Amino acid sequence: MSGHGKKFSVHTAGGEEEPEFQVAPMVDVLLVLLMFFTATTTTEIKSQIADLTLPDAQDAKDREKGEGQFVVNINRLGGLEQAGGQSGLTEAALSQLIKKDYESTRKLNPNASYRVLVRADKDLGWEKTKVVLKAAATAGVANVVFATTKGGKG
Amino acid sequence: MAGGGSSDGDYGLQIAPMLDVMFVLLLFFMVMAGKQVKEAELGVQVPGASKAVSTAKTPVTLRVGENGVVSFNDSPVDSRDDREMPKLLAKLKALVEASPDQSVIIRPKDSAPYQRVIDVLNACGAARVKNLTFGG
Repeated sequence: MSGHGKKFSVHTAGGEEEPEFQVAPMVDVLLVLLMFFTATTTTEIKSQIADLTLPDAQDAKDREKGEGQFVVNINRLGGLEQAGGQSGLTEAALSQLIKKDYESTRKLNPNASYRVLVRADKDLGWEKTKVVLKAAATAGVANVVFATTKGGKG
Repeated sequence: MAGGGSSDGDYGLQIAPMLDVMFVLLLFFMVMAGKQVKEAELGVQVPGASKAVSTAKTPVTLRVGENGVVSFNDSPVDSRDDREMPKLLAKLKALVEASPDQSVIIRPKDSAPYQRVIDVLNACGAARVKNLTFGG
């Protein structure tokens, strides 16, 4: 890296004229590349929750942005919580919340797609996730998706 | 002027250190871009809420035991530590090739590890199983 100056001086074809090296366009290109990589590393990185580590699935699909979505977090201790809402939910309470949200989405657009997104800790047993599946079924929502992580092996 | 320069007003901008820093930053972000972890999803239809659809073919049952052992129609496949599940994937792919609308039921035990259930779902997704559901 330290040999840039010498490298450029090779092109001076004698004479007394100073070589005209255009720094500005090169810096522009580098800055654009830098901006690109800075932007791509900060977008779409998984949202972190302190007591929740998502399971890993390399063949999972990229996340879709549906019209209606109810996100349930199940933390390491098995506690159910609505993302950005109530925590310590029971199956019945969760079912009620899903149903309410589902109905309000359907009121706005009867053809809206709706789904329940389960974000459960990878070290949990299946029983906690089963509770969410049952709650979704009771609320009349058939589409359930499981949040996973992918990538990070490069 | 502060910063110095030659007497004829030429600042003598030090390009080499600047480029060094920029290349290091560029390299850092390029490497980090490859290592980033993205949030993805695996979908399934809940049987209780969806319309009951009777399938002509016998569904395949995948059981996940409490110790993480996965069985395909009651015969164990792949070792517990095998996250990629190549044998299960091969069986599912063969099934889907023979009959694209083959239904698969996943029946995990209550105490089955969640990561293992996701591994099974991942294999089903990779094999493009369309008719997938959970059983108690």
